[in-house]
Amino acid sequence: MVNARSKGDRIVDIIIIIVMIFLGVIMLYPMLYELMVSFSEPAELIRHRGLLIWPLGFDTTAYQLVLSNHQILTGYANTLFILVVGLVINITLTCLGAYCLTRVHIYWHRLMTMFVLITMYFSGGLIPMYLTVRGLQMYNTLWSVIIPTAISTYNMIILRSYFSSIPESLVESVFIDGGGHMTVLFKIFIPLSLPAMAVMVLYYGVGHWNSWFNANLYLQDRSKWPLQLVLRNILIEGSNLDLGGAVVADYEMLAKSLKAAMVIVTTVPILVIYPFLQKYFVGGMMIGSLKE
Amino acid sequence: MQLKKFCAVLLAMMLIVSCLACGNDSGNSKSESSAAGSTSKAETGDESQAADPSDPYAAEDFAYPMDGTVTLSINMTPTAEAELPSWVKGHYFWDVVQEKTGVNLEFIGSASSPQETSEAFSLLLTSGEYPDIMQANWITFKGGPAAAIGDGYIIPLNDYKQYFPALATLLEENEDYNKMVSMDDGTWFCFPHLKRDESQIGTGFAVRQDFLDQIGEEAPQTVEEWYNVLTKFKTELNLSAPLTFESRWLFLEYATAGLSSPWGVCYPFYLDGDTVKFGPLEEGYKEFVTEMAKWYSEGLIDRDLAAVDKSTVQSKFASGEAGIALQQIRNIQNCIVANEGDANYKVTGLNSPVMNKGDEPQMSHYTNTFDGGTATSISTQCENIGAAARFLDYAYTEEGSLFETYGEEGFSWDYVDGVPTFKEIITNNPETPDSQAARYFVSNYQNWSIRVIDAMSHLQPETLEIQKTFFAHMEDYAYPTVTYTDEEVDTISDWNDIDTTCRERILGFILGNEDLSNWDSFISEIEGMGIQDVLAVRQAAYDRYQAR
Amino acid sequence: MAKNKKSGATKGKGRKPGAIRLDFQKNKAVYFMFLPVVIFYITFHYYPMSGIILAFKDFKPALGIWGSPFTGDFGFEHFIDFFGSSHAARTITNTILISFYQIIFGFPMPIILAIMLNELHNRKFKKVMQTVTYFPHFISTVVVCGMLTEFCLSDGLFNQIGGFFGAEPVSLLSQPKYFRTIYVASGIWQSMGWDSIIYLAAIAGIDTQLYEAASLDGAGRFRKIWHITLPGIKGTIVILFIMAIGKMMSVGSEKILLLYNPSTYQTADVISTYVYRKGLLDQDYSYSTAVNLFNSVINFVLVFLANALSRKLTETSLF
Repeated sequence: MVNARSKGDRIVDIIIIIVMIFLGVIMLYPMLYELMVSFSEPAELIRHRGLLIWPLGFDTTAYQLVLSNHQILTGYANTLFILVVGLVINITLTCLGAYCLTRVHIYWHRLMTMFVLITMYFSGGLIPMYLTVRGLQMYNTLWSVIIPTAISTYNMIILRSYFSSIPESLVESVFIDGGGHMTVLFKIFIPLSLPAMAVMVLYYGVGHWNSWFNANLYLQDRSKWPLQLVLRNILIEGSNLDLGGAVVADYEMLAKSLKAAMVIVTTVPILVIYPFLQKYFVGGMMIGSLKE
Repeated sequence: MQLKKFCAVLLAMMLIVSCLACGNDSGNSKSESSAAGSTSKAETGDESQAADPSDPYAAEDFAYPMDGTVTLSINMTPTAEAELPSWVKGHYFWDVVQEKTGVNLEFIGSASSPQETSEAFSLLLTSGEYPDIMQANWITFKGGPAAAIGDGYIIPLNDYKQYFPALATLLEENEDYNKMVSMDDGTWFCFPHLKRDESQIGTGFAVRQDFLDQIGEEAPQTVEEWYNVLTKFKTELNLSAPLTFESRWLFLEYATAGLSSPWGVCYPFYLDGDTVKFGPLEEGYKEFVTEMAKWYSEGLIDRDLAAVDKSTVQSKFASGEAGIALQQIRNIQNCIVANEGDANYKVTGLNSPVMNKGDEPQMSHYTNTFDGGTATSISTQCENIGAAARFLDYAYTEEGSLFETYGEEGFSWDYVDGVPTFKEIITNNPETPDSQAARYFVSNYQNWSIRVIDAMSHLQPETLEIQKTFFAHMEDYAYPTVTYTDEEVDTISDWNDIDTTCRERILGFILGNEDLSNWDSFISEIEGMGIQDVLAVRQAAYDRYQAR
Repeated sequence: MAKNKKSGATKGKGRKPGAIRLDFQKNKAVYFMFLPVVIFYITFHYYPMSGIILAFKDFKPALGIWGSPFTGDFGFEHFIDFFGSSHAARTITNTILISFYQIIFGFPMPIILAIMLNELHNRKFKKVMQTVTYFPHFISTVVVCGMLTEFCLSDGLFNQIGGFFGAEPVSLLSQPKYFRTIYVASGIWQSMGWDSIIYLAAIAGIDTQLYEAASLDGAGRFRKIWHITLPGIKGTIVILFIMAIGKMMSVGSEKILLLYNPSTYQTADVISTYVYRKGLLDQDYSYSTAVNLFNSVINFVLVFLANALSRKLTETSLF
């Protein structure tokens, strides 16, 4: 019986592996393509059409241009600051909010939920937000890109839904032992939700890493710009160079490999994070171990 | 608040001074600006200087640099000090320009891509704190420059022309320029960015000369010859895209005017004498579309016409899949550079086709000398209008204009045979690759300037030769940059829907998605949407423009 | 996971003020913990919401939000403008259809992917696959659309594959009938790995003992998926589904602007691209605020309905 089952299983396994490899190829290729483009000769790229299997020639001009920019380093530093400080604030507030929203027996529960949800659908837009940030004296400080996005309602709802799968009996037992809500949150909910916490770190973290829009609005000093904005600006400044002549032509030739080099320079560091977080996705040990 | 009041008082005082000087009696500033605008041309110049001899910015013997005590704020973000390559230090454009003019600039806010800028710009206006010098597209600003002045963002400049003699002289000596950059009532609202000659026609046809040689044909001139050559490209050389260009260009202002030139029409609005016309309403446009549909169905036009973008067109022309391409001159040059190793690869420029042998090509790509997208004004919160105007005026002086086009003489360029030419540090800089070097010396982001005529001379000679073939007589047909009245703005906003319908249907006719027998229904559809009203408004605005 | 709070809510309605005080005394700590969250939302969401009023006004920056004058037609001019335009109906239909296909085809994909990843036995392979599938999320839309345009040309990759099976080459992005497929499929490709992370986390929260017990009972792979995995992540699925319904009216403009052209307007032109094109002509902040407000209201109503339905059918709900 065991044999029969594993035979069927093996066929399914093989099917899954084949599908996975197919998916892997189409998901990996664009990144490889960018890598190859970034090292290709700009002139060759112009003549080329279609897929790339190997870089066309070998040329590092694009990387030179990106890395010769002295602000890349400050960009990295700013992004790192925003990422770390931002994450601490994000995670703290999101956990507090998500926990409170799981307390379904309190009187104002429904109101609290609506209070949070409405903001997902209605927003005042750019201008009042900008005035608020200015009014709070955050304008042109790194706080302007950290505080206004401290909670993503979407993420908080996801975390709430994870939290609410934790059996209420565990909460009761803490109360019986004389613990309060803080104890429940930190001793029970967070340790039991490590996979969800990893998702939060990933979603918020990548969000901070990729964001440039708010920085563009709120940060005047270029020394405060995060990496993405610095890079965007290299591209934009280059293409705004309106001489109509050879200078721009040269630049445009380079544009394709330059964009690709930027994708590589910005993406690689953040890609490294994921494998570290993956260990928290290992199936179900948490609740199982605690229930014993 | 106090600042505003102060400015208002200052403004009022200055107005009174200048008005007393020219002996005009006038009331509030709004209605007066027009009066002053028209009369000042003749008289104000000398007399207002005499009115206040202690004003250093109006003095006859004013010379750059100023004394360095004035700080002016401006909404833009130049490259940060830390970002500059080390060899640039001390020669960076924005540092040098401050040195040369003798003002200190305080940069606030950012200026990125046009769309982001427009957002950042609304925010700037909302904040209530305006920089001394404001850069914006006042033409697309709601209500146009008139609203910008009326709502109190920027000041009319006519009464301060003693502070910007170079620009004032340029405008007064050149009727055409003056018309373009004034409002209908003659008010000057900005320090314009003026394009000239080469920088106005940057798009045109290029043909593979070696392909022409292979099929034994000359460069085609008439529509018939074009058809013949393209057919041979298709049948004899088996090209997959004998003629290629971006379809969206069909609907950009004058981008494909060259193609419809034989029929004497183009999209969207153009001038026929003093009459404003809308291409698709003309019989010639239907004939043009019919011909294009025929070409497309026979495979003479790129099958992917609707989908190709700039870089695909470039690749197709560079890789030999296309015989004729309509591209920007810089992309044509890219194609040539990319094939430098290939001795066979030869490209020549093609002028717009004509209907009959011997006709002269009429229409081509064209950008208005002043397109409004780039205009710089002095804000109502500016405390030192004299210094601000002097600073901006520097760009229109002979020295300034050379500096803004090429950078510092001796450092980034020199005269070679009397022609300003970039030096090695720009063209072949080991530290900053691919001519990026130039961006630190020229007026990148600067929206007030007039570039010296042969600024394009750093195109390669071969490409320059190609560009010369593009010139037709489009300046006679191009609809200028106009301003609309408040009532007209509502009508004009219908244009968006009409434009959408036109793009969709016309491209559909060419691609064969829709049969040409439906043309009349298309015309009645856009008439129903109010094209005649839009046309009438365009005509009225043009008439006012002519009357400036 | 199922939020069985219905009884609590109905009980709440009948309570007297005294009960509110009692509740506060009992749950002080919870309200106190919620305070920072409330402060955040009031400062950065509710206070700036005053901007919504601009939908009914003619925004003039110099006059500010409150000082700007109301528009004609009792403040509804922008709305009348939008609905009166000859393309309004089409853009609304296109927006809803694209969202609809995104939900039908796009929503289940991350769930399937997560379950498949969970079924991989080789730890290393699983980790690599997880990482690889989330790569596309990091490639910017501009780059993705550039590649996509290239692939869709009549001599591009898709046509080469089609040609292998004997299909005639077509210029895919010039035909209205292919646009939605291309848009939705590429969207799935871009986001399915990234979105599957939530489900992977939810699966990781399932008690492993359940699987062991099922194995002992002789349950096969599919029965375990059906009876343990799916019920285990049902709550997450339902919540995300309701939230996806609430995005029905918001199809972003960036990607469509890069992929469409006049020949595909018929199926590709959505509300956001329409507003974008209008904005190029005259920068009107309050007009886009008005259109956004319309979208928000529809989205909110949809979420409300989806939530009510879900509470009835699955006993799980967003609120």
